[in-house]
Amino acid sequence: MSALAALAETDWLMFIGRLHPLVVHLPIGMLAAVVIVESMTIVQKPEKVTATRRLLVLATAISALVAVVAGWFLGDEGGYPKDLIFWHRWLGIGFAAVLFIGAIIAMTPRWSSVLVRIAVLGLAAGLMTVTGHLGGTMTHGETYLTRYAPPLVAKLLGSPETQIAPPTVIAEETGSDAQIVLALFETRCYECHGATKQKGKLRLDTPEGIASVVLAGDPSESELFRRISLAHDDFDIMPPEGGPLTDADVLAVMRWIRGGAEVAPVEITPEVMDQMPASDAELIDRLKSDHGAAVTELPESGDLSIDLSLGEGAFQANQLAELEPIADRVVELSLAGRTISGEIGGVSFPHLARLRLERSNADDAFVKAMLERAPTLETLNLHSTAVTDGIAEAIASAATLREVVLFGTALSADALRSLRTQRPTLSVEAGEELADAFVVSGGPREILAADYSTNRIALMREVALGHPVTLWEHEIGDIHDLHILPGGNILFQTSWTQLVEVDPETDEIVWSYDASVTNRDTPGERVEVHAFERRPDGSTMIAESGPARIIEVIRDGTLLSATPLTVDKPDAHHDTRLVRTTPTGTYLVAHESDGVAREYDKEGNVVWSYSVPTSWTDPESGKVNQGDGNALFSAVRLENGNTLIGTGNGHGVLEVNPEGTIIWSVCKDDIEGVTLAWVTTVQRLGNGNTVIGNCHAGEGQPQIIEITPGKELVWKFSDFDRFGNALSNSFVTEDTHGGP
Amino acid sequence: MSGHNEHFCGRTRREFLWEAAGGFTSVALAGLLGNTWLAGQARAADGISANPMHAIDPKRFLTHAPKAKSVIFLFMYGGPSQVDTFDFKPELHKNDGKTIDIPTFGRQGKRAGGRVVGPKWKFRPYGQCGKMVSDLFPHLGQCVDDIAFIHSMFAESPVHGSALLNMNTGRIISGHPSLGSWANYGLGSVNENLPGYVVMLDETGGPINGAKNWTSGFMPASYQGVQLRSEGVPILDLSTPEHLQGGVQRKLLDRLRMANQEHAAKRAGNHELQSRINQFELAYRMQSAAPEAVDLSRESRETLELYGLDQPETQKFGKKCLMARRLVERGVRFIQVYSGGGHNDDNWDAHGDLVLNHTRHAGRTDRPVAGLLKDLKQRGLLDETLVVWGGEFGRQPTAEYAEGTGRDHNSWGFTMWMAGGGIKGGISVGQTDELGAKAVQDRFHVKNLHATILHLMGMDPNGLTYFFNGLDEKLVGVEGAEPIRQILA
Repeated sequence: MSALAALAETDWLMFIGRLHPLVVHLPIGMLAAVVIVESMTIVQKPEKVTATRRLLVLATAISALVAVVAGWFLGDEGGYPKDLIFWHRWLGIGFAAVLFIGAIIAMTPRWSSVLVRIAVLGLAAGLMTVTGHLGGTMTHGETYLTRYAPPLVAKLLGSPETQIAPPTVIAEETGSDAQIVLALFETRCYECHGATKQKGKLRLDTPEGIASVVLAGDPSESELFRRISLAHDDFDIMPPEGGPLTDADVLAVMRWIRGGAEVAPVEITPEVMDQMPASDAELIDRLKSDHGAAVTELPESGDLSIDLSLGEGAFQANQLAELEPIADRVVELSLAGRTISGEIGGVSFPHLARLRLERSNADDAFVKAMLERAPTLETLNLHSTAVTDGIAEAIASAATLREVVLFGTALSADALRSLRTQRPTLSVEAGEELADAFVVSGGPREILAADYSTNRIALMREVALGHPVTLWEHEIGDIHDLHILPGGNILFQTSWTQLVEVDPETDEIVWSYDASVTNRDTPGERVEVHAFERRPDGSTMIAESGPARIIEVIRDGTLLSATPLTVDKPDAHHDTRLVRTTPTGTYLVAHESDGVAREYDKEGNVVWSYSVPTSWTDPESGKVNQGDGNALFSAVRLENGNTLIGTGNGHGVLEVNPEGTIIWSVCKDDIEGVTLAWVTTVQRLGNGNTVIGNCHAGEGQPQIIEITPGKELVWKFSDFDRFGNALSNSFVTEDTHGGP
Repeated sequence: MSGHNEHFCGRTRREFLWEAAGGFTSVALAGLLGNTWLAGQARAADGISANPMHAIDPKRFLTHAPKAKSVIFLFMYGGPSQVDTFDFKPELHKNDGKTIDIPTFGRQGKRAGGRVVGPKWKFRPYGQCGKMVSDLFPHLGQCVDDIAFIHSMFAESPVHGSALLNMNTGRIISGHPSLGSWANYGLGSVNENLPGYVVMLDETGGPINGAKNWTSGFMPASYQGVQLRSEGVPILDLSTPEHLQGGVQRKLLDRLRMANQEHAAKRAGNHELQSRINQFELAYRMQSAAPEAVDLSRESRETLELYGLDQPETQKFGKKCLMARRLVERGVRFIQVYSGGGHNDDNWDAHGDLVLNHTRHAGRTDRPVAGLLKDLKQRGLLDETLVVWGGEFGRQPTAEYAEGTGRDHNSWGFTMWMAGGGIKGGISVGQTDELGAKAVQDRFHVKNLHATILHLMGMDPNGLTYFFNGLDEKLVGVEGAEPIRQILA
């Protein structure tokens, strides 16, 4: 079925038509055979070849008929010059007809005299020659035969004396439709509708003539547009020869008529169509071909951007002089990446705004020379060139310059600084930012946290909110203090008496201190360490619970100082919790069993103290917080001089001023969705938020929270996989990167 | 007398061989031209008039001085989540985990509401402009003063294949030329040794639809994107065969050119023939130009580190970004670099675990992209190079599944950004609703993005046309589109 359907859908007429060029050669060859057979009758007895002759003439006639039929169909496809196709068709039919007459004559002995036969043959041959030539002209073009023929022969063949100029592409390259259309008229219409011939009394080289066939603004009412837009096989289509206009051309004509059929450049000369003076155009062509230049001509202004960066080999500076004729049009020039040699020469660029010399070998002398020649320069790119401090002066005095790029050059920091001072509005890009470009301090928050119930201390990076990734972890026993040291090491404890400093990259212990042995006067004395701190000088502060003192030791354990503490209810486990050095060098100690925060000087004098109440009234909300005690865990001196206190089983946080007045507090249930349990560490961040350790709160409650001064929860940490219900200590990094 | 008969057909042996060889070369030329030049002669749709392509001079489409000479389009394939990157939505954070009514349209179809997935990253202000950027992009955050964010993008399709075509070709159906093809068609190529349109894919593979995303569609194939590889041979099928090493190929080409020039001399004015002859030379020149363009051995250690080439995580994308800068320096007009390829979490398509997915892809691209911007800037190239960042769409504020953080596609509202070449830095235009689900203020279609890019390249987006099938086809469609004027410097 499908094969049949395909057959049915085949355009048989078209197919047969396409066979014309094939079968057309049969009658030609066979006619030659007839001539040969006919001439044989001169040497042979005519009877011997008569049968052959008759058959051959008939066959020739039939083949001619086939060729004619196929040719008719091919002609219907359209697209051929109408004069040629007309004559080709009818002469071909005549040729076939003459052959059939010849065949009838050949079959009829009484008519078949030699003279008649020669006359018919001659007529057929003549018709064939003319028809064939017309066919060849349509297929191969008018000048096919004559182009390479000897002049005499060409003349005999009727070659035109003067060649018609080949269609120029100039018009296509330049802007307006009017120019395209007028150029089109010149190449396709003037031959018959111009100064020499006025077929149909029409000439298209005068505004009046054009007006007679064009209604400005309305293509459909314009005879000219109707005639060029007819079907390609329409007898009336224009132009009749050389094929119909391209769609692009027809559209251009349409737009031109719509746009008012402007014929301003009446004097249609190549100069009018070619906006660019010939010498400029040639020069630009030469730049492209000889120097591999990319030349961009900006619309309207005609300004030129000349990019010589893509050329190969060394660039002779004196070649810039070649630009002289167009130098006043050049607004941008690039020699980026080129090896430049020699002197520039006399050229100057009065309107040059951007000069790109980056990655070239341009030195001070070259750049100075260019600056002299470019009085209006705005942007100068010199990155990775050979310029030195010696160029700074010239740059500073280039009045119009707005931006200079000096990254990757030898210019000293001093020269850059002085340039910036001299010309504060000049943008000097030298890439200095690069050095510390991506020191991302903080970044996603890092959290150091420890839980003795799961025997783990871990440093984590929170790659996404609620998604901490472990960077390092270490096994511990008891713990009540931990630190990230400036170099990145972690200072923590693995038991109440063992302090260690570990490099988290390698997990190597780089320092350790055993409080049960070192600096112990009384062997067997019970001591617990619940706080420690690395001092800026490298020594370590250690709070000893039991002996109730604070000592400072250097790296090898040697005792530097010892400060006695005041304890009302001595207990080796409960004497102290967190101890922090204040900005004034005093120690601020959270005395858990006493429920008091005391500040000591080095000699052990209490210089400030605050008794934590079991219940308090929030100064803002007036709400009363009822704690289960006042076993404070931490007291931290803030920058504003206040003290921030994590109240332990007080289930809240207090900020008290030096006078001991509560100025801010967090109560047990102040935060939506959070119930504060044993409040341990407190940390005031740079943005004013407060991070609170919420120990023993149970699963389902966050272990660490961050709240705003308005007590809005902005961040929480809840990880009961790594940690359990005794996450007592934590520290979060200040994520300060970016920021205004 | 006898001397005459010594020569075959009146020719010396030398003459005969020379002529025969000359003729043979023409046969070779015919073969070489066969698929290209002869095809270039093909007729337009009406079957008769010449292919309009050949009448077009690129300069025709330059309507004003270009601000951007080159474009680097960083394509985040898969669809990055706007609310986790640059579109700061505090309300979304507050509603984390709550089930709310909010219409969405993704691969799961249209839904009336769902469980809110709060932004998984903290946002913080950066730069003079104080732009809020999530912790996914700590390096890029430092570049915000050079960036214009468009928060109110919308596209025509919420599925990858058609959305990619939308973003690359302006249509959701195949067969249309891509943005880079339009750019090169409109303006022509600058560097004769390199293609004007280069595409670099992710090491995990290409995006869905493959080459349709950098096709020249109904334009001649010379406008299509050329794939440049960051590892190994930069351009496939371009290396010199072994038996042609050592100058043999050059000799061959020289001889071919001689024959070609002779051939062309008799056909003066045949621009197509001349241009095709040039194409063979281009292929030859590209053999040396392409490796040079991607050779990073002369880049300083500082530069390599700037792009993150010292870190395994950022090495691959960083290399492509650095190659992009080198191509810009060499006049390549349009470069597209894909982040993400293949399937699932190999690209930004975070249906399952948003955190895993976006941490991975932002981690691989943050530093390289920031490095690219900083490097372009310090080299004075940023003001004439337009950098475009974005995916084919964004993601929904609600969860795709009952469990987990995965977000479905969202073409109703997403964020893209542009920097450099004529862009006003440090600004954000357009808004999505308070949960980031849908563009609500100053909405911009993909077409507006395309129009902006064409405008910055010096063209009128509504005047850049290609005649095909009886229509003056445009990248921005027959209705046209205006550039996003708020972000123009």
